[in-house]
Order: sequence, then C-alpha cells, then structure tokens
Amino acid sequence: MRHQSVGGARKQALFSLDNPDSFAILFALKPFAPTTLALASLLAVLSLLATGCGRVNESEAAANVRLDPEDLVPSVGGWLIRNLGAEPKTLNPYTSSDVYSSTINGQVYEGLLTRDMETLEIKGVLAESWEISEDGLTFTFKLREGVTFHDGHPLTIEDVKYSYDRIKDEKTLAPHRQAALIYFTGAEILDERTIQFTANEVYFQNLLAIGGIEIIPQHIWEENPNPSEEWDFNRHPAGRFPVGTGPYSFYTWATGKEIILQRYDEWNGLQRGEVSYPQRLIYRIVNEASVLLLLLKNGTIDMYDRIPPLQWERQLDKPQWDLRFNKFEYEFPGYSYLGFNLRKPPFNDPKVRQALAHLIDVDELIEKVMKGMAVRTSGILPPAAPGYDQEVAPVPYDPEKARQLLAEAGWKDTTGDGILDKDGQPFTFDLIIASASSTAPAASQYIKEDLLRAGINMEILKLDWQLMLARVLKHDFDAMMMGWALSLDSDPYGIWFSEEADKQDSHNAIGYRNERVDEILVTARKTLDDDQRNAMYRELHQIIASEFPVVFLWVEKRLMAVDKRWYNIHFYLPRPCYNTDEWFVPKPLRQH
Amino acid sequence: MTTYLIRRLLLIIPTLIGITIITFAISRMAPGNPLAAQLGMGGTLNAEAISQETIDRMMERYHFDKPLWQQYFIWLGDLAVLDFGISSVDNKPVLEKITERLPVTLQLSFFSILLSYLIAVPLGVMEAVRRGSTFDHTATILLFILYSMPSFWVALLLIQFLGSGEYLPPVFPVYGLNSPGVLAPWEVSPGTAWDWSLLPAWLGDRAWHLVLPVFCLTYTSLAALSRYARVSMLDVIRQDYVRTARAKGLNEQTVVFKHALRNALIPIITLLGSILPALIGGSIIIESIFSVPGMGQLGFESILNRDYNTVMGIATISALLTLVGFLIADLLYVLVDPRIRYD
Repeated sequence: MRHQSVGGARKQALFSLDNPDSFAILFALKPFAPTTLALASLLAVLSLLATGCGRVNESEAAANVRLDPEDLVPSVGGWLIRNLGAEPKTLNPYTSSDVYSSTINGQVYEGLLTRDMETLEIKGVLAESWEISEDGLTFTFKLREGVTFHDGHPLTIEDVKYSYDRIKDEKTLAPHRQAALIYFTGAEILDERTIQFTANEVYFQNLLAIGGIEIIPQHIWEENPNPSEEWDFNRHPAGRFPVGTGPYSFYTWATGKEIILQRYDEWNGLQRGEVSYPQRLIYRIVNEASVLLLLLKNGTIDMYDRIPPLQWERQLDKPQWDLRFNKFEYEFPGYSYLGFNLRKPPFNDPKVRQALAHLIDVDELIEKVMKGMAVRTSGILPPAAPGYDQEVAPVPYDPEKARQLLAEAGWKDTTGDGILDKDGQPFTFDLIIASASSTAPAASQYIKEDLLRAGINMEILKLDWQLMLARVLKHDFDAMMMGWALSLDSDPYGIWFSEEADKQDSHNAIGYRNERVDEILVTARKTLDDDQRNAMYRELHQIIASEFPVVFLWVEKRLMAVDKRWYNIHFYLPRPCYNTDEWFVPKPLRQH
Repeated sequence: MTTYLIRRLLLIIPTLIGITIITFAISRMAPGNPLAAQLGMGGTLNAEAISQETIDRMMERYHFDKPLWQQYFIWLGDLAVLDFGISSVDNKPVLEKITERLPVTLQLSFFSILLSYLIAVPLGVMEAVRRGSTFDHTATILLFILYSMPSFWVALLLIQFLGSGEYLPPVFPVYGLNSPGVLAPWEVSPGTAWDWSLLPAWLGDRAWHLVLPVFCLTYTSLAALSRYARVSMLDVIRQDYVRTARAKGLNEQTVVFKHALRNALIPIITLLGSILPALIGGSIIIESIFSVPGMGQLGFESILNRDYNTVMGIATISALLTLVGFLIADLLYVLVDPRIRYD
C-alpha cells in the first residue's frame, strides 16, 4: 500500500550540496538583476571576506560529494531537524488532543498493537500475541518479554492495567480517549504477562482502541513529586518529561523553542525488525511560513512539512531548490465539503442539491485555490480507505444539467431579475465559513460566482471558528463549508446516523436521514471482519453519494520538502503518512 | 499625601471588581465554549466523537454547569486568595502560564518602550524648538513614513534582507530568542549548580536576537510619542514665562530645559499610565513572526480557545497595572509641577 509521490522520493540522486549553511554558496546560486549589480559586487567582496578564501567560483561553491554504494546502506546517525507548527499543550498522552503532542508522543510511547502503515494489517507492538473471544467481547493480550522503559525499568503487566485505569478514571480529562474506550468495562490481570479486557458491546474499533493505548510507566506517574499538593494525573510533571518504551526517548523541551528526542538504543522494536536511524529528532517550534522557508533554505531545518500551496508554487518551484530539496506531495486522510441544512427548503429537495453539486466547478477550485494540491472525492471516507468505493465518480461540473434539474424542481426566473424563484421566493441562501480557514474564503468566492451564473444568490458569512461551530452545532445555518479529519478506518456512524440528526452538538449537523443507511451503519459497527465491513461501507458510499447531502469538494494534499541529504523517504496512507524513523543520512553527508 | 494615597489605593478595589464583572460578562457572552475548541480548529472537525457524559463532566469541572453569577463569585473567591484558576487548554494553573510567558514579553516591551521614549521625547522637543526648520519638516515626514509602514510587513522585510542571507549576508537571527544550543546558566541540566561561565555568551546571543523584534516594536510608537512631545513643547514655548525667561537674558539651554521642558512633560507623564499594561500586553503579530512565545500569543490563543480563566487572569492583571499606572502618573505630577499638591 506504499505509494510514491512526485518529486522522485527514491530517485537516489548521488549529488548533494555540501555545507548549505554557507551563505557564499547561496550567493553564488542567486542570479542578480542588472540593476542590483553594484550591490552585488559589494556583496561579492563581503562574501569573500566572510568565507576567507581568495575566490569563490561556482563549481567550487556547488562542490558535490560523491557517495560510495556502501554509504547508501542505511545506518544509525545524524540529527533530523524539522518544524513543529505549535508548542504541544502537554505531553501527557491521554489529556493532550492536539496533533503536535501526538507527533512527539508517537515516538516516545507505544501501545500493545498498531496498524502497520504499509500493509494496513494489525500487528503486535508491546503485545506478543492477542486473542479475541468468539462473542467479540473479551480481548486477551500477552505481553512481550524483555521490554524496558527509557529509564531502564522493565515493562510489567501492571503498567498496562495502570494505563487503562488512568484513561477510565473519571478525574482524567481525556474526553477523546474515554469516548474511544466507552464500551470497555474492565481489565483483569491473568498472570504476569497476560491481561484481559472486557467490553459490553461488539464494535469493530474496540481492538485498536484498547490496543492503541500508550503504555505509561506506573512507577513514575504514581509518584507525587509535589507533596504539598494533591496528586493530580492531569497536572503530573511527567506530562512534561515523558518516559515510554518507544523508539525515541525524551531529551529536552525548551519552552517555545524546541523539543529534542534521542534514539533509544534498547528499543524493543529493533528486535522485531523495526528500524530507527536518526540519532536525534529535533522539533523546532516555528509557525511563520516565510521564516520556515528561510530556515529550510539556510539549512537550519532539514524538513519542512505542511508548506502552504501558494509558497510551494511561488517560492519553491525553482530549479535551484530542486537541487537542494526533495519535494513531496501526499494525500492526507479527510475531506472538505459544502454542507446543506437538509431540514430547510430548498435543501430538502435532492434535485436542488444535485443541481448545486453540478454547478460548482470543483476542478477549477482545486487549480485556483488549492494550486492543484488536492484531489477530488465523492464520498464519506478517504479515497485511500478500503471502504471507499472507487466506482462512485465525483459529481461532474455540468451547468446545463443543473439548470434542467432546477427547472424540474420548480425554480425559474419569473421576475426577470436574473435570480431564480419559486412560489414568489428568490433562491438566496447564506454560506457560513471559518474566517481562519486558509482555503474557504477564496473557494467560496468562486462558488458564489458559479452559482450566480445559474441565478442562485449565495451570501458568504465569514465567522470566527467558535461562532461558526456554535451555529452549525445548533443547526442555525443554510449552508456551510467545513472539513472532516478522518482516519482510514473511521466509523461514519456519528456523521450520518439519523438519530444524531435531532441532537444538538452532534456531528450530523446537516440533519441527514436514511433508513437503509441507518441499518448499514449499525450492522457495520458490529462487523469485525474487515472485508465484510468495507463492503458495507462501499454500499453506504453509493447511497449517500446518490442523495447529494453535501457537495464533496476535495481531499487535501500535504506538501513537504526535505533536504536531499536524507534518503529512504516513503509515504503511506494512514496518518501521519510518513515515518521519520526509517529515514537516514549517508555518512559523508552527516552534519552532526 | 498619605491619606490621598490610601484613598486612591482603596478606590482601586471597587474599580477592579467593576472591570472584572464587565470582562467576565463579555468573555462568557461570546459564542462558543472551551470544549468546542477541543473538537477541532479552523474549519476542520475531528470525527472522533466525545460522549455527552464526558462533556458533562468537563462542564462540571470548570463550573460551567452553574449559573453565570455563581461562576463569577467562585472565580472572585479564588482570586481573593490569588488563585487565578486552571486553564481549560492544558490544565496548568493560569498564574504559571502567565509567569512562563511574562519574562519574554517584558524583555521585548521594556527595551522598546525605553528606546521609544529616549528617542521620541528629545526628538519632539528639538522639533518644537526649531519649529518650521528643515530639521522639523524632515523629522515629521520621516516619522510619518515610519508610522505608515505596517509592522508585520517591515518585520518580514527585515527577516528577508537582514536574516535570510539570500540578498545580504545574514546579520541577524530570524526566529526565537536564542540560538539553539546556546544555554543560559540555569539551563545546564536540572539539579546541578548554575554555570556562570555561560552568561556572557548567552547574554550576547539574547541581545542579538532581540534587535529585530525590538526595532519593529519601537519604530511604530516613535511617531505618535514624538508628536505628543512636540505639541506640548510648542504650547509651553509660546507662554509668557518662557518669553520672560528669555527677556531676562537666560541662555537658551536653561530656557528650554529648565523652564519649558518641565512643564511640557506633564502630558507625557499622563501617557506613562498606559505603559505598565503595555509592558505585559505583548504583540501577537511580532511574537508570531519571530516565533517568540510571549503574552500576546497567550492572550490571543486563550480567546480563540475560550480559555476563560486565562483570559480573565490576563485581563485582571492588565487592569490592575493600568490602575496602578494612573496612580503613579498622578504622583509624578507632584514632582514636575510644584503647583500640584494632594492633601
């Protein structure tokens, strides 16, 4: 399931710029306009002084390192320095819910099981083996032997139970994690290597929910380092200094600056055939795009993830950067959509919804707004998911057909003002979007023009995200533009189940109802067989797509640039889509 | 004087309570709540649902289930023992979050305020004294140009030209307050004694990092401040007593600095009242561009996340500093103007 991106991840270029820190090299690469010639010659003098050598010529500056074949055999060493968009709130693996903390914690902590990024099969991590009872309610795990935490303490079965108990503890502020374990009722240690969990309902996500719990060391978290205050899991200092069993151990966290992880040489994964090559992972906390680009160009960071499409197109798409960086695009699970409030006319009419879908030129949006960095989607799961039906095509741009459908639905311009009307009511509605979104404000403008050409008047309301969310969750909207962050095996239940449509604060804010869909959603949840369940989801995909409850817009592509020194970069379907543990830098190119 | 001071200090209490009531009401009336912020940000929702039961528990923990007036009194009661509560974002005590960010912001704002006063006041006075001269006109135009340039734009230009090394040699660092690896004496390793030999290198590195952000923060306030100084000096310089001073043959220096300047300073001192809250306020724009974790970012993020306790904590401290600033300004009047007395 490994997929290759453009940019030639494995096009093993044998050339790389040595020492990208020296501005003299950058200077030599930078073409100067004639008007800046005087300035340029002054700079040339300065650069000569700075480098201390008599003469800089281009071939010298771009001196390449030739690599021997043995250098391309992966080996341990080198520091991978990358950007982190914001400071993690905490590194407590249960109470944190932001992606920044999970990026770090994903390297420090391990669970009993995980889904292999490449094969998508479930594989044991801290569990040597596991068993699910026939009724699907009892989960028995056998713990691997000889695993140690980063502080040298051996991992015990008590740590596993302790981890489960902490999430289940009502005082723990971990709503997401508690929701994931909602069907679990108890944990029982059977012997010193075996633990059994029981659930009260069959659910396909139960196995990974329980197997994915990050195992935390009891001997550290149990201690109260500040005896003057009451012990509080949520505020325990171990949330600042995580100790786990994962491939990297925590080294330092300089608030607002950087977090450094150090390779854990005793990592149990190495015996299981896993790899971890970089000696250190350094996460620099920087969010400003223009600064990040500078840091990448001057070699301060090796890897810049989530590059804004505009910056990618305007500033990185130049030959001199292609020499320095490998550039990657990868699809990120989730989708953006235009949702209608199905409780309100005219959106309760499927013909109108279909017409709206035909009126929006999504390909143009992708080209103009996303700079081509997105792919179309037709459905409820990420296109890479096995439950996504590849046969269901996205709705094509077809304004003729849309006009016909609108006419059939009774929408005609009888007043001659250019706006369609029906029963004396003009076709006008409000679209609410999040003002902070990087794409919705521009995309909605194009959509507005698309619709106006067909005689539909859409007003755009830009709202603060909190205000927008409050209105959406209270069903106080006509249409909205939002996105879903999903995983490959997300459960579409919360988004599409009809009972959720009546509830405020539910994910089915558009108010979708369909009896057949309800049936499938309920059965699929209890179906443990992946193939059977995915077949059900494909049927679900067909039904929902045929009713046009939302306009499925696109799946975003994330953009990343990595210094050419790094090799063995692959992309995978599940989040976070890449695994820096397997990247390596050949010995002659190492800087640390 | 003492009774006046005591009266003014006592007056701060009801004023502060009034301010907190209004801030509390405004922050709670804004749509959204801290739990919604955990569902996802910026237009994308996380599909994993949170159960109603856990939502209820969170509401209870932060007292959101109680009527608004009760919530206010709970908050006020905690405040009375200097407990600002716990942040709903990361469960850290609000006071700890503020004290973590404050030193950073203080460094930036202290230097920028100091510099802008040191430059703006003499500049304004000189402009006033040589009113209508080429110097006056040039300074006015230059300051006006500076004032018109948005700081985020200037910051990005400075980074691009002085930091990137793409056009000019990289003179200044482009992000953070220290280069990675440059450690402060207290950052060596926990538990060991401070290593004072690191201090000079660390201080130098820190100063180097402060140049660009402090410049961006300073230049914008220069124009307004020097205008104030110029206008109030102009007012004074036309007064009869200045003419008298000149008429009796005093040299120009004594006239300007002894007779005129002291009187011209009174309006400037009024401005001092707003300096204290500005010291801790921070600037979201400059902090974001230079990746400096300061109070501006904290305040902005707290509002976005509806982190009520942190918002209230920052607002209360700012309000208190404003009130204290006004008091100090009032007391300073006595120093510069012998006619003012508080009895």
